[in-house]
Amino acid sequence: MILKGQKRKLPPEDPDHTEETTAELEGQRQLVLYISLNKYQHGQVLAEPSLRRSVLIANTLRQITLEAAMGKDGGSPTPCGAAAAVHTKEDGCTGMATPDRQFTVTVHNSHSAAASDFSSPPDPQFGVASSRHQADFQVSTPDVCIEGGSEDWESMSSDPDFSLSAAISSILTTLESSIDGNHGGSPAAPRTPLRSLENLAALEGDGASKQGVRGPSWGGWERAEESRATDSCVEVMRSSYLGDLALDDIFQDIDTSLLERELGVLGARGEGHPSGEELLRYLPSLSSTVPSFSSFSSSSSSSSSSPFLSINQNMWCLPSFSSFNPTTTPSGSPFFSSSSFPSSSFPSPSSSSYPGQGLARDGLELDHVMEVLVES
Amino acid sequence: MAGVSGGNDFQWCFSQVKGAIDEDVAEDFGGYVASLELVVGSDRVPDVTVLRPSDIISTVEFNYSGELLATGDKGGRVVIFQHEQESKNRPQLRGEYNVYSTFQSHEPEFDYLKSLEIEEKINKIRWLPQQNSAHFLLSTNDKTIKLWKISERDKRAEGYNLKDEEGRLRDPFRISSLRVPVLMPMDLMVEASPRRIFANAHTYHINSISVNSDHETYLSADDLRINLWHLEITDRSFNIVDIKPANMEELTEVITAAECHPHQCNVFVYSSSKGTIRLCDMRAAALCDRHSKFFEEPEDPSSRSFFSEIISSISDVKFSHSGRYMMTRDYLSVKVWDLNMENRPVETYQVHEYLRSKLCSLYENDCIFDKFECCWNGSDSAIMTGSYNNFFRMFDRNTRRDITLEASRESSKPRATLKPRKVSTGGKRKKDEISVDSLDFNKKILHTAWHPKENVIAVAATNNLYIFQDKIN
Repeated sequence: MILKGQKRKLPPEDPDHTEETTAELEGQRQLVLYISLNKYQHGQVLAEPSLRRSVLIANTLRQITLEAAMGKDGGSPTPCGAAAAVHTKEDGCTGMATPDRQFTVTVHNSHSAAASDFSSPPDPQFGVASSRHQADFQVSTPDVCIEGGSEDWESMSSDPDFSLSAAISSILTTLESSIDGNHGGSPAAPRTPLRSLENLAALEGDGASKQGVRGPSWGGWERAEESRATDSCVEVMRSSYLGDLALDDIFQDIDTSLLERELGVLGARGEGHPSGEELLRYLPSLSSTVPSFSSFSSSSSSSSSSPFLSINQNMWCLPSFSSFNPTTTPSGSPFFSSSSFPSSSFPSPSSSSYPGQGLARDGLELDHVMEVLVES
Repeated sequence: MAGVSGGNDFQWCFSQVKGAIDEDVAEDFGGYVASLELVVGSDRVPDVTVLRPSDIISTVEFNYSGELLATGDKGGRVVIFQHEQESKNRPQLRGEYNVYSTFQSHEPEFDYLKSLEIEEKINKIRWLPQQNSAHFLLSTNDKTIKLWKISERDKRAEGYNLKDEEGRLRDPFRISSLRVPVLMPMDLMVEASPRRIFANAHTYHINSISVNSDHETYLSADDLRINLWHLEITDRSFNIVDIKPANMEELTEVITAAECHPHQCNVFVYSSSKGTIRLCDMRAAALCDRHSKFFEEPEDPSSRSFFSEIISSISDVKFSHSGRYMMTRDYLSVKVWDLNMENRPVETYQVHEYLRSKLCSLYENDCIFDKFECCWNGSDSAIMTGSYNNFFRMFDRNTRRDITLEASRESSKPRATLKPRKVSTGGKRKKDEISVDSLDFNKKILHTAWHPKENVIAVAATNNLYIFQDKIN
């Protein structure tokens, strides 16, 4: 009963309870994030690619990052309180230091064994525990890191958000390229009312990326029938190295015959030869970022927005690319893996060699040569 | 809510099931050969059925009179059932639906430009109003719409002069007299022929088609665009809605369904993945990017979760027969909107609210992306939609009562009344109730149809088509 004149007092908050609920929320966010990233990866392998599904997953990812960012800033109307903000930072920044609370590179590879071997990159990979959660998830499993311990998160506070937003933007870019056949965010053609669409196939076809590479050729990725146009980015990257006219002048002395032979095996050459405009689009950026190419191996926390790097981001995040042989390459993406660059020795795959592996090897040698050229 | 019994409520009873081969009866279902039973020695191994993915029913639609019922499946086939006349022996039973025609509507294709396979799965079938003795329907897969003509032939000309009965040419010099060919009755033959093929107009996957009330045009909608076609013209269409952003990275919303107004040929609606419905008037502009009405229910902040947007995505939109209301289906509920009120629906029905606490696991196993359809009855007094575990739900708009029924073999005795089912949400599970955790999420009823005039419903459960009728009192 409240006596007259007495102020009502707010019951003292139970700090443990608050921590638990915010920890629960944080754990749930981690879980949903993990599932979303995993889902998008595997969505590439679905028999029925669905734009609606991909958009919904991407929106969920975006919402999670927004909430995480808002929670970090502390002034959020979301259920996350200030306490959660601390947890958010710690969770997001905890890197590889705690072995029993391993954060896998979910963007890169859903195979925990491969991903957990990431040793060097200082760019912390935002991820969640790799162990599968049960259907009725209950938070605070030991695998989900709630308290980050005594990590120094200040220096790395910006990185998880960046890597995640980069992941999201790359997902959306691949969305575009996979469905529409365009890449690089080309502006829509001006639309006239009542236009006839007889030539729609031709219109869209011009922007369609050439995807001569099928599933099996990508080293055992078992989807043989459909190839997502995520390969389009790869295709362009490869072809931008592989001896088009302008590039031939730069790399005259590089023996690309082996590479071209590999491409011939993959069947990419005939259909896959990109149009001139596509290459020109990438050429200026290529020349401008070649000097910084060697620095790519180190922290990828640069905020460069060049299309070249964005393509690298795409490749970095392309699940098809990194998952084609889960039992081998511990370094994930064979082209732009930071830990393997610029070493030219490529760990030999334990299983049978795929054409893609050989191609990757040659690609690495090419990169190595490029770096040599630049430095000289 | 309590079950239905007596009074003005329906008493649904089982009528037929199409699609699976029973151990006792092996009927010819005209192309549906869906499941096999393994027989090990002399014992039968129950519940071991081999399901062919191509037999999964992907759309169900009655025609305008209800005489014909069309189904499309994942293998690109269309099977049409016809309502037989009532038998004099059993007047209490309405006639049955028997196979009328089967044809392969779409074949799998390969888009060489994009290296993508185009599925032959029939996404939608829409009947055209009947104008002569033949029947016309539109069927569509992800990319191509086809207009099919289904016609009957029950007479054959006999007595040609130049050909004999087997079709061999007769020697003209041996013909001594002329005769007039006579039409003789023959066994009924139902032919389906493609009359129009509307192709190459959609970059994304077609999710809806809808015939306009002018009976001359129809619209087709994919994830980002809506096109308007004329039924006679196949080489061009008008693009009337385009929500594709200039930069695909900014894409956050897709079109999920579209429908023409049943009476006003200038009005159509389309729903989005963000839970909004836009009503457009084609008289206002050639491009209907700007809506005339915008229907969205404000979000309840107390029920916000990570999945709020996903479960708000509208999977189906249907106008009422009167044209005054429309119904939308999102993941957990069905909402009835008055076209004159945009800020909230007039009625909301919870389909399976007990799933709200399971959204995370439903997200994990992808069930949260299932697209359920909904339908009105002929008088707009009741609505029906599907759920999991082969349950489907019916809501009476007048009495506000609802019922949950199951489409299963066990409850499929001829003319057996369906027993209402109930899902227990609390800790205590009563007898005959099913707990949420024991629901089978692989058995989902996505497609249902209600006869436009009578109380006959068709429910597609994976590869089986169930037909239920209301018992005539």
